[in-house]
This record gives sequence, structure tokens and C-alpha cells, in this order.
Amino acid sequence: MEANLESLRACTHCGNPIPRVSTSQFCCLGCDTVYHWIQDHELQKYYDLKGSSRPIRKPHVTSDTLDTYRYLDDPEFLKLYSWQTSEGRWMEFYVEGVHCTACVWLTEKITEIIDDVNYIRLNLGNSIATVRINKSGAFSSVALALQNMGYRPHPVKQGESAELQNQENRRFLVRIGVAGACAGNIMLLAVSLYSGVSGTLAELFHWMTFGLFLPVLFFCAIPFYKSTWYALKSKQISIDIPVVFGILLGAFVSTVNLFLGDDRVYFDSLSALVFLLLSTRYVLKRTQQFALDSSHLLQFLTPAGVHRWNALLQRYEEVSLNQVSVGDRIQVLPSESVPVDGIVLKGSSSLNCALLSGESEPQKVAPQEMIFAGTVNLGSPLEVQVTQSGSKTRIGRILESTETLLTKKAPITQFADRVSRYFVVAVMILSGIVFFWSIPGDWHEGLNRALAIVIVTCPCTFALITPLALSITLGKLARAGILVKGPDVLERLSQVKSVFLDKTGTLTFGTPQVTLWNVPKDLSSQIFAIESCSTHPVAKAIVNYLLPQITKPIPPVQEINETLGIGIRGLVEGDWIELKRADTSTEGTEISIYKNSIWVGRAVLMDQIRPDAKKAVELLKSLNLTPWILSGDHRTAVTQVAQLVGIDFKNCHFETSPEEKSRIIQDHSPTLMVGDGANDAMALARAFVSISVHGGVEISLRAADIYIRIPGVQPIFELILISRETLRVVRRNLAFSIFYNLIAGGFALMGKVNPLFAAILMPVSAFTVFLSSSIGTSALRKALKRLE
Amino acid sequence: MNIIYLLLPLALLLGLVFLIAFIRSGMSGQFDDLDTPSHRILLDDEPTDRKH
Repeated sequence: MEANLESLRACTHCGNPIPRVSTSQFCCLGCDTVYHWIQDHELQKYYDLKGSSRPIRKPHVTSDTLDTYRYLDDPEFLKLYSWQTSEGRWMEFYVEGVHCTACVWLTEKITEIIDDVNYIRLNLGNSIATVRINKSGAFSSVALALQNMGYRPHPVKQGESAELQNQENRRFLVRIGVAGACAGNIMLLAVSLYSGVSGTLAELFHWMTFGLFLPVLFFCAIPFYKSTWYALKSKQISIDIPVVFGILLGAFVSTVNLFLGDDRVYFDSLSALVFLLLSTRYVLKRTQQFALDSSHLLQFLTPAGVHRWNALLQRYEEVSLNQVSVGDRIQVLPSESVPVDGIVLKGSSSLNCALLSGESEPQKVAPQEMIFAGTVNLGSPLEVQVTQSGSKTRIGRILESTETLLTKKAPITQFADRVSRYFVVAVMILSGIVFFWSIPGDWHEGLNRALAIVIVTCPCTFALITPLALSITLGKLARAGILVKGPDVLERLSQVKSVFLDKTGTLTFGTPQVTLWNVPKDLSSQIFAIESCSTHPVAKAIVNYLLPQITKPIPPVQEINETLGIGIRGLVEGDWIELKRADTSTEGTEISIYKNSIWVGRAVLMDQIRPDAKKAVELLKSLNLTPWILSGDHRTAVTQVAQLVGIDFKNCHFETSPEEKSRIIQDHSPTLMVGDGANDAMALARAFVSISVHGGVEISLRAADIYIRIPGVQPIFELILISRETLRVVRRNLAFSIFYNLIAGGFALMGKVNPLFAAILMPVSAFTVFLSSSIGTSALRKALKRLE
Repeated sequence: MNIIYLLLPLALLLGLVFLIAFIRSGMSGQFDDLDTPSHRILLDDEPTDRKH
């Protein structure tokens, strides 16, 4: 069904192929509008900078005017979404569709287009534009300008936690910098010392290493002290305890030695240790935060601007969602999402309820019926009376319970950490014994040997094992399009026994596709013309199907008449063409086509199963996992899919509500849940591990542990395989660590360890663990390769 | 070799200056976004006499 791309022209604005039916130089109205706006403002340089880079999303066509964004200037709104500094008022916008340098250039030109904007910076990584205006400025004009450029803006709520996290990240980076600077200088001095400097100069150098070590001891190592403190308070042994013990004991003994004139000072190894551990932790933390950042789109679930009826002014006005209260009368226009729970007062339409029910078939609504926030209005304008808004709506309550479930999820202790603990305790006891054994005699020597044991064994390698293997795997997964949100997720993944798969959108494409088309070819362009006028998923499917067949410009539609849920008819080129849903539907939706009231053909549409679904289910079974289907859809639809995909009938749950899904998940722990809709959110949050798949809705991105950006069911299998292999790497690293520690510990017992020995051993052991993590296993490499 | 008693503190002082520069830029948020600045470098400044 692929169109012949070589013969298609490229859109002048975005570079994507123009549908053959079109005679314009643009692929869509959106690009046309933006192109002319850019010309008007003399910003053509955009195209020079853009080069051949192509956007993934096309600019939205909207009739947005300044009025649409008026709610951004409302003082109540500003209190929640903006903040004030001495330089001006700030707000952040998530902008859709920014993808390259040219977009950075274009958006940052807003300072020149609008006088009152003093500052605008775009972050390509998370698509957030930070804007600052002066006293006379208005954010509504900024939003309109962004929209005109083709980047739809969404205001982002400045959460307090986001700001705090920022500060903490910065401080962590500074700690690394300081540790690196000090460690580097200490090592320079140490090299001279090992090379044979003596006399007063050597003494000076020793004291200088001591001085340079103090910032490391009192500032850089603080994160370790904190985590050790918390671990001790909750009576647990964490991997940081031996690290802290090593640092403190090492610092103490080295200082004592320094004063005694003994040259066994270990400041170089200790500072390098702190630097190394901080760096690996930082890399791991940033890898995770990247995944988390991409899913903070929660606030875009419902629109911020609502059309509320103002009885005084006798017209609809734009207000922000926070100002809408129960009993208000609002209007929901076509293609807008319903912002509140409410009762329809006037108007009939069809809604896309996929968010709540997972069903792709539109639901009809008429006056006196209840509609829910988050559904999308497909047909005609609706007048609604508000019954619930904000967090009290059904979707709001689902969101809230999802949040609570998320915070309750306890991180599991990793295997490597558990083994390390025991080993570490054993080593600490050993060193204690060595010291106390020596007390009657040469206790100073005993102390040094005990210290040597502690320094060369525990801290370094054990603390590096998991972070290195994990950050490398997580980084590679992120690049392949799989975002993992926590370090323990991979380990959980390897422990699951059952896999619960959502049906619509996960196993299937989520939207109906044409599977049978028995219609005379000469009617194609007429049918295309008519179906292009409708927003119904069936119409879209037919349009997509017929697109490659259209070779001449489509004829204009003279009259059109759509009956929701039944069919559509229109007058094209003098013929009345009608497409009607047939009553008989054994599988999918059956459409009958009539020309001038004579039956001419039929078509069947189905929500098709993804091509790799069957194979993926087989592969999952081969890993000894039991696959289940969990769906809100009807029994027949679900059992059909189950049969085609290879899942046992007894492993199917159908017609389940979001709340029921969550309960079922709980009963089958430990489970992996795979879903994509908001109706899966609670189940995703409750599952032992959860994955949100391609095309997923914002709330499910938030609720799940992993987000897979690439389409298909196969990646799930690869992911499970990868997690098992990564654990194998961790175990291998553990083996290396134990091996090193036994040998080094032996040397330490014999008194053969001195600072030079430690300084060499530590980088060598760290490097080995790093190498082992990078190489991974052959199975791991192959699986990652398959994902690309 | 007595010059080294002058050079060492000098070198450390230099290092300290750069460390302070790093701390100040880090805490003010310059390193929050590490991808976009690489794009921004390629863009020229232009005279600011725009039509509205």
C-alpha cells in the first residue's frame, strides 16, 4: 500500500511528500499557513538553516486567534503557571514539533517579533521553551506567535519539585567537578612522590595532598554520607556503607600517618574513588531523568482553555480550566477534547472514548447523556453542563490513584547489592580482627594493614558493578527508543511470570483498517472526496486506503450528509454516493456502497492485529511467560484477537473497566502489564513492571515504568531478553570484583599493600568492570542490534 | 629548585579560579541543557531592525 515516493513532490515548507491529489506546493494547510507567515515576517532564513531536516509532526491547522490564548493572561492562571523574578515574568511552554537548529533559530526570533519578550530559550531535548516578558507583555501573544510558526504551544506548570531537582542536579555536577579537580591535582603530586621525591619537598607535597583532600572529604562525598545515614536509620545495609567506611577510615589513618611522618597516605586513591563513584552515579541518574522528562506531558490531557457561557455578556468566553465550576455551561467544539465531566444540554455528536474505554469506535451522544473528561468530540458542537471538573472527574480520579500507586512502589534490592553486602560485612569484620589482633603488639602496623584491606577491597568495584552495566544498557535502550525510568526496572523485568497485554493499540493498531474492498475502481476518487469530509475513524481508514490509488485531482463535493454511526452520503460529479454500515458484522465493520441508490460494492474494515503480534506472543511463551489479554472491548472482539495471536481463551479478560483492570493485575503478581491508554493507567501503575507502548496517551506514559517509542509487539520480547542479559553482565562484574578482592585482600593481609599498589589496583579493577559492562554479552549485543 | 615554592601555590590558585568559574556556571544552570547550545553556536547574530 506504499505510494510511489519517487514521483511525489516535496512540500516547500516541511519537505514531506505531497499527496498526489494536491496541486499546491505544500503537503497540508498547516505548512501553507506557516510558510506565508514566515514570508510576512521576513524570516526566510529558516529554510536555509533547516536544510533537509524534516519534522515528524506537521503544523496543526487551527483557527486559533489571540482569543484562544486569552486565558494565559488571566491573573489566576499566571499565579499557577508563571513565576516572577526581578528580571520579569517567566513561563514555560511545551512546543510541539521542534526538531532542528532552524526551529531553535525561529522560536528564539520571538524576542525580535514581539517587543515585550526579553528572553526566550528553546531546549531541543525536551521541547520546552522558556519565555520571559516584561511588565507590559502578554503570554497570549507569545503563544499565538509560536502557533503561527507551526509549533503548537502548551503552558507547563512550574512544579516545585522540578525546580528542586534542578538545583540538586547542578549541585551534584559541581561536586563531581570539585572532586575531579582535587583528585587530578592530588594525583599529579602523588606521581612525583612515587617517582622518588624526598626531603622537605616530599613533606610539602604530602601536606598539599592533605589540603586538596579536605574539599573532597567534606563536600564531594556528602551524597554518600546522606545515603549511609538513611540506610543506618532504617537498619539496612546499603552499598554506600563500605564506601563511607573506607573513606573515613582512610582519611583518618592517612592523616595520622601524615602527622607521624609515615608515608602511607592514601589521599590519591580516596579522592579518585569519590570522583569515579560520583561520575557513574550521575550518568545513571541523568539517563533515568531523560526518560522521566519525556513523560511529564500529563497536563496536556485536557485543554487549558474552555469556552464558558457568560450570561452577562450573552456569549461564550475563553477561561482557563481552573475557573470552571460545577453548574457552568460550556461548549465543546469538534476535534476538541471534553474538559470536564458533564451532561449534554444541546447537540448530538459522536465521541472518541478511547481514553477511557480503549474502544476505537466512536460513541454517540445525545442530550441528557453523561460525557467524561478526556474524550474527543468528533462531530458537532455540544453544549454541556459541568458536573465535575479537575481532579474530581473520572479521569482525574484515575490520575490521582495512579499517582498514589506510583509513590508506594518500593524499589527492590538488586541481586548484586545483596551479595556485595555480605561480602562487605565479611571484609569489614576481617579488617577489624586484623586490627584488634595486633593491639598488644605493633598496633600502628595493624591499623595500616586493616586500612589496606578496606581500601583495596570493598568500595570501588562493588559500588561500580550495577551502575556501569545499567547505565550502558539504559543509554543504548534510550537511543533505540525504549525509555526506562528506574534502575531496578530491568531487574524486576527478569522476575515476571505473566504478561498482560492490552488489546486495542497494543496487539492491534488501534484504528480500523480496510481489509476487504470490493468496489469498482472508477468510484475511488468520488468516495475519497466524500470520506475526506468526515472525521470518523472509518472514513480516515478509507481515505488512507484509497490514497495511493488517486492519480488525478479529487472532484469537489457538492453536498454532504453524515449520519453519525450509520453512514455518509454525498453528491459528487452529479452522482449520489452513499456509504452505509451494514447490519451484519461477523468480523469488524461492514460497509455497503451505493451509487444513486444502487448497491455497487462492499468493504470490510477491521482493527488489524500488528504483524509481529503472533510471533511476539510465541517468543514470550518460549521465555516461559504466560501471556494474557486485558481489554475493555467486547467479548467477541477480544476472543477473536486471542485466537489469531495464540493466547489461551482462559487467559482473556474482556469488557473490563480501568478499575477492574487494576484489580486483576494485583491478583496475579508479579506481572508485566503492557498498555497504551488512560484506561490502562491504574493497571500500569499497580503492575510489578509496566510498559506503555508506541502511540500511548500521556497518562500511561506517566504511569508506566517503561515507554517504548517504536511500534510493534516484538520490542517487548527483546526488552525482556535484554534485561536478563544485563543481569548476567552484572553477575559477571560481581565475579570479577570478588576475584580482585580476594587477591588484593590477600596482599593486604601480608602487608604488601602500599599507596602505590592501591593507586594502581583501583583504576585497573574499575577499568575491568567498565570493559566487562561495555562488551556485555553476545546475546545482549544481538538483541540491541535487532532493536535499531 | 626553590622556584617551585612559588609555582605550586600559583598553579593551585589558577586551578581554583577555574574551579570557581565552573561552580558559578554550574549553579546558575548553564549545564542543564547540553544539546541545544551545540545548535545555537551555528546561528549568526543579525541586525535587529525587524518589521512587525
